[in-house]
This record gives sequence, structure tokens and C-alpha cells, in this order.
Amino acid sequence: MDFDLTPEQRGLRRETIAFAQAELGAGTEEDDRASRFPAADWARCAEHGVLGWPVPVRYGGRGLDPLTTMIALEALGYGCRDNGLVFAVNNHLWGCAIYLLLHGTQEQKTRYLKPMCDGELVGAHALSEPDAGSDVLGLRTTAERDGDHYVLNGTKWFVSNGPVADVFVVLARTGGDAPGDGAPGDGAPGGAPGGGRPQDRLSAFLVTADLPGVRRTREFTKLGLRTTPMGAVEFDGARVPAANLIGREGAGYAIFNATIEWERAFMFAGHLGVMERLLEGAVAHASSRRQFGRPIGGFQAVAHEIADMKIRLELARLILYRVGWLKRERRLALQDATIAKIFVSESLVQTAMAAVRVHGARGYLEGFELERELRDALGGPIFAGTSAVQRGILAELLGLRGVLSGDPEGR
Amino acid sequence: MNDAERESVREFVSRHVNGRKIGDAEDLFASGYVNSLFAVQLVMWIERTFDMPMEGTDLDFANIRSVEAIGAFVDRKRAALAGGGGWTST
Repeated sequence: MDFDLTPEQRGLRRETIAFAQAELGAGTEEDDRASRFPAADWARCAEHGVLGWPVPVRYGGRGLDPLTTMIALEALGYGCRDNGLVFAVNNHLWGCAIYLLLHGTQEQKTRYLKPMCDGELVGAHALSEPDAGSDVLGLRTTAERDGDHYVLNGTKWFVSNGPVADVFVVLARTGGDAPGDGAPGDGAPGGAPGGGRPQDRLSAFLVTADLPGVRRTREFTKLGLRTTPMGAVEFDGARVPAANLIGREGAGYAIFNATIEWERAFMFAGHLGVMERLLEGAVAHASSRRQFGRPIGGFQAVAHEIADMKIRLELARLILYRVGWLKRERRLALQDATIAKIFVSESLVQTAMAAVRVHGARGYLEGFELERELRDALGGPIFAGTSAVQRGILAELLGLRGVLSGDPEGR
Repeated sequence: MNDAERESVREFVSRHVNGRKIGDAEDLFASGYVNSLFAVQLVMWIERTFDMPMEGTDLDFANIRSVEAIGAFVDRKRAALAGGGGWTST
């Protein structure tokens, strides 16, 4: 067990921080106010190789291993003031590119990954629907085979990057009705006649935004992470080439389960950088701000806030690096990724709240960065599966039954 | 997979279906007795019990849909692990 970064990882960290501080986030305050996607910064990320960090060199990426990718994303989060831009990069990588990387055909990888690394194609994950999010098996978007195509119908909501995305990973139903639709056999012994097992009814597709019948219909306004646009996507008889099926028909749920651990951990690596930035700012402020004749950091109430910020940062880093290591070793990491998702996202909220308290009025007012940092932090325990659902998943993984669905007695 | 290992699989599965007797060829997921997270739980248990690192792609229902399938999967995995592994990103 070696907790040290390699010289190459340290170099990449330094280089990424220097790049992000010098070239990204110059217009963040204004972009945040206008809920505007920073397209020029996106192009700079592409030019710097950020959009292809985990993608093999032969597909146009940098070919970083998962642990090194985690370290690089942490550095990006530290150096880039625009948390929404970092979130957009993460959605592109862990909501879209990773599905191709792990489950795509050679043709799909060759065709889509290079333009995604180059920033020409923006990727997104169209999963949630108006009536289904965490309950993936309840998705209602359908995909019916018609010759060499699948015909998609349905609506996806809360699609991060959606309004600017060129390519979506979409989960849709290729067999049977959604649970709760009165489908025969739902949850009943013997399976569902005609529809198959619930977990065999979904398939994953790569859908390009330029197809007839694909419409980006709505943009949501958010509390934080405003520079990541979020929208709705409708599929109205969209004919998707069968060649864009990811994996085999009916394997969508297995693909989702095998891939979501990447999103639940790697998407939060940037949080480490933000936590470190907030910690440094709090230490600097507590050391220079004087009240009652001494720096406020000399007051135990303030000092303990800062000590707790450091504890959260180091523990969050340990669990995320562990997931990076597990994935580098090609190991299953769902349990660790679930723990990481809960702990890191909630830690950032606590740290941002602490930073606001340490800074007093300067923490609360616009123009001092911290109120935006806090708004941006609040989404973490919600996106990619809420903390409540993650705790349910963790409890089920530990052997408790009926926490998320079904009957605790297994009837 | 030897007989003792197969019996340990039967015991683990049985514990999660409230002691019901499940045939070796019976589809665990079609039965409706277990939910989809059981798949992850099962794969994690295989990892611990048989001391073999699991990958995300091992979470294929085909690998674990019955006691028989689990036995075959463990045997395949052992053979594959003998050939090495690790991330390739070039």
C-alpha cells in the first residue's frame, strides 16, 4: 500500500492547477448570473486534453489510468473557479464517454470518442424522466426495433449538458411495460410473460441530437452549478440506427449498474479541490481578520470549524483515491463509490457552510465567491442519485432487505 | 467449483430468499424473490468468499442467474485471473 503520488501524478497535478487558474473561469461570475455555458473554456479544456483524460490514446485521449484521472480531476476542481464547468466536464466523461469506453463497439469508439475528446461533440446522460429517476427499472421511454433502427419515444428530464449536448447515452425500454403499469408478472414469481425479467427490459443507446425526432425542449434554471446547462430531451419517433445500441439488447440495466460506480465517484473528485480551496481561504481569512484584538482563528469556535474542514477533506480524499485504485485494478467498486458519493458530496456542503460562517458577511454576500460556492455545493447530495437513495443502496448491499423496494420478507 | 463451495453458494442464496429451497438451475431473478441490488451483493460476496477480484463487467445477470451459473462463472473467472489483468489505457 503506497499513499504517495508518483512524480508524474504530482507533475500532472501542478500542470492542471496552473492551466485551470490561468485559463479557466475568467467570466464565471457573469456566466453564473446569466446561467451561461462557458463555451470558450470548454474549448480550452479540450485543447488541454481534459475531455480525454481517461480515454485511451488510440481514441484521441490522454490515456490516464483511473487513479491518475481522479487526481487530475481533483486538481481541476481546485484550480477552476467555475464549478459548473467542472460539472459539465464530468457529465461528458462519466455520463457519456465512459459508457462507450467500457461497453461500446470498436466502431462506436472510433466514431465518437475522438470528437468527444476534441470538444467537437458534447456528451450527456439522458436517464431521468418526469416520473422516474433513481428507480431506473421504472423508466418509460421505449425503443422498438424496426429493421435496422430502433424507434425511440419518451421524455427525459434533468439532463445535465442537455441543451448543448450533441450525443446522449439513453436508457430505454425494449421489452415489457414499466413496473406499476400493470404488466403481467411484475415482481411476481415466474417473471413477466412476454416482457421478460424487469432487469432485462432496458437497453442503452447512443443517440445523436441531430436525428429527426430528437428535440431539446426545455431548459431548467438551477440554484447552483448554473454554467452547466440542464434541460429536457424528447424522443418523438426518433429512428436510432441499431448500430448505436450499446452492448446487447436487454443489457441496459446491467450496463448501467456496471458503469454508475464511475459516475458516483469520479464526478466528485473535483469536490476535493473545492474543499481544499475553501479550506485555504478560510485559514487565510481567519489568520488575517482581527476582532477583539486578535485574529479570529485564535477563537476556538473558528479554529474548530477549520479543523473539521481539514478532517473532511482528508477522509474524502482517501475514499475517492481508493475507488480510483480499485478501478485501476479493474475491480468492482460500487460499495466504495456509494460511500464516496454520500460522504464527499455531504462533506462539501458542510465545508461550504463552514466557510460561509468563518467569513461572516463576506461569506453571505455576492461578489466574494463563497455564496456561489455554497450554492454550487448543494447539488452534490442530489445529482447522480440522492444521498437518501445512496444510503438505501448501501444498506441493501450490507444485507438489509426492503430498504429501497420490494418486501422485506421477500414475499 | 467444488461441492463445498457450491454448498456455500446455496446457503448464501437461501439466506436471501428467506430460507426457501432454490434449485441449482432455478433463475433467481425471474423468481422475483430477490431484487436487482442482490446481483451486486452476490458479486461482492463471491469476491470476498472466493478471494477473486470482481470487475464491473462481471455484474452480468447471465453470470449469476442461478447456482449453476455462479459455479460456472467462478470457474471461468479463476481461469481468466490466472492469465493476469490490470487497466490498459493505451
